[in-house]
Amino acid sequence: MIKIIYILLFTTAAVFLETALRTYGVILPLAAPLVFYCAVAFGPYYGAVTALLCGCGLDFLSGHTHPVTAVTLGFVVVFAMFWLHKVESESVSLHVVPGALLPLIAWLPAAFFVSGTSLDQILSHASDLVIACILSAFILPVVIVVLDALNKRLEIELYSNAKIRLRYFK
Amino acid sequence: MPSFTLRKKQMTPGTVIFIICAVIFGLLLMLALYNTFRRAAARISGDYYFPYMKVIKKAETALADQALLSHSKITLAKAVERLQKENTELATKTALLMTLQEENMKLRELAGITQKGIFKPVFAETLVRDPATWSELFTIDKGSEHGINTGDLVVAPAEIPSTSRFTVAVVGRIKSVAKHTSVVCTVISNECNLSVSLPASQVSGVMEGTGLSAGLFPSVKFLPIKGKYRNGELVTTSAFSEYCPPGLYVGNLAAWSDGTVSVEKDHIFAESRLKPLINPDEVRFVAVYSRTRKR
Repeated sequence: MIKIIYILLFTTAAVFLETALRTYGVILPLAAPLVFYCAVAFGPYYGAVTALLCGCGLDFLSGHTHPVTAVTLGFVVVFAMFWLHKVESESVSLHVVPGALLPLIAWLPAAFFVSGTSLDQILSHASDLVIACILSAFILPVVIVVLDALNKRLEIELYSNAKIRLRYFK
Repeated sequence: MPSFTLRKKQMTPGTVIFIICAVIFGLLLMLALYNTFRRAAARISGDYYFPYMKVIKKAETALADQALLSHSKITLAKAVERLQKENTELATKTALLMTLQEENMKLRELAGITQKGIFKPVFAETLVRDPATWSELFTIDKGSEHGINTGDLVVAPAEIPSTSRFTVAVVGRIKSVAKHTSVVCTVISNECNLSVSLPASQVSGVMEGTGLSAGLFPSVKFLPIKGKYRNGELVTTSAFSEYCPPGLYVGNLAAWSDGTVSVEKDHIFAESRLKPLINPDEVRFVAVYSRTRKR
């Protein structure tokens, strides 16, 4: 129950902040790091639910006809599982790498689809995308540290224990 | 072994047809469920996030008001005087137009002509925009509880080029409505179609948005093939649609780079392109013409 309320609360915050920034022309995926975190910490099913809620919120609030972002955030869940299973390092600072890739996975395909597969439109946002990648690279480790600190108090699963749980249950 | 041979023989053509029909039915059901889910999720998202997005707009307005207070009293007093003068002029014009409207309704009744729809403007502000669809879609902070319906016309004030006069010009149409919010598809969007007329040529056509990938010029289709159209010719909303008040400024015909204003399509109609009067990128405050009375 706590996990569900936790996901709903942070989904609302992430969608609200990301949409507010988009309204001012700033592209900064905040839902993608949350989906990445939930997928690794709580499992792929929770990650998928978070992706669906965030994607539907982001797309329908912006007026898009189809929840394409929900699909691209699903790719983030797949990427998160890949990172969990294939990457040996547990260092939080190494999460700069997946953080930098999140805008390319979560925002770029959705933007390409909703803009009518217009490459010109995407190229016009190329500089925004570069900045989004740089910022997201730092946001993901911060999200992991902050949410893990909160999860410890709430006594729910931690991101930093995900690999240990994986080894234990293997 | 004999039972296995018997099972293989039971795949009759009827069974195959049944399986195919079941698969098609399943796909149609999934499509129907997806459409229902999409509409419900769109309404829920719009209403759920509305209070949070509105807080940002209120904070923005409060900051703008504080910035206004930084001006000198003389500047503010002059602005108030100018606005009072404009308000008095507009009120006088509105009173005259109301008289003409009532006269029009009485004459239509006497002549036995169907009454036109009455439109009530609902004023709104843009709430959410997405950089990927900045020129094509935006969300406003009014919805069905304010009387807005899908298909209603959205307008904003604009300056007529090479004059100092302001008019109201078409921005787009309402694409979908939730209780507190509505999504507007602009004239650029390929989801926006509008019945238009060219008063100078006395013809009508249909304006279709072409999407940002095709440029910022919507198409004006189904014009009479033998018409002579001029570059810069005025395009307004037509009286054929019950969703739109007629006579509102949409834009002007724009010639292509080779100077042609219209091209022949399928030997049936002529097609031209429109330069909208309003740039949808810069719109912030809009009015939605909601129908209070249908034909």
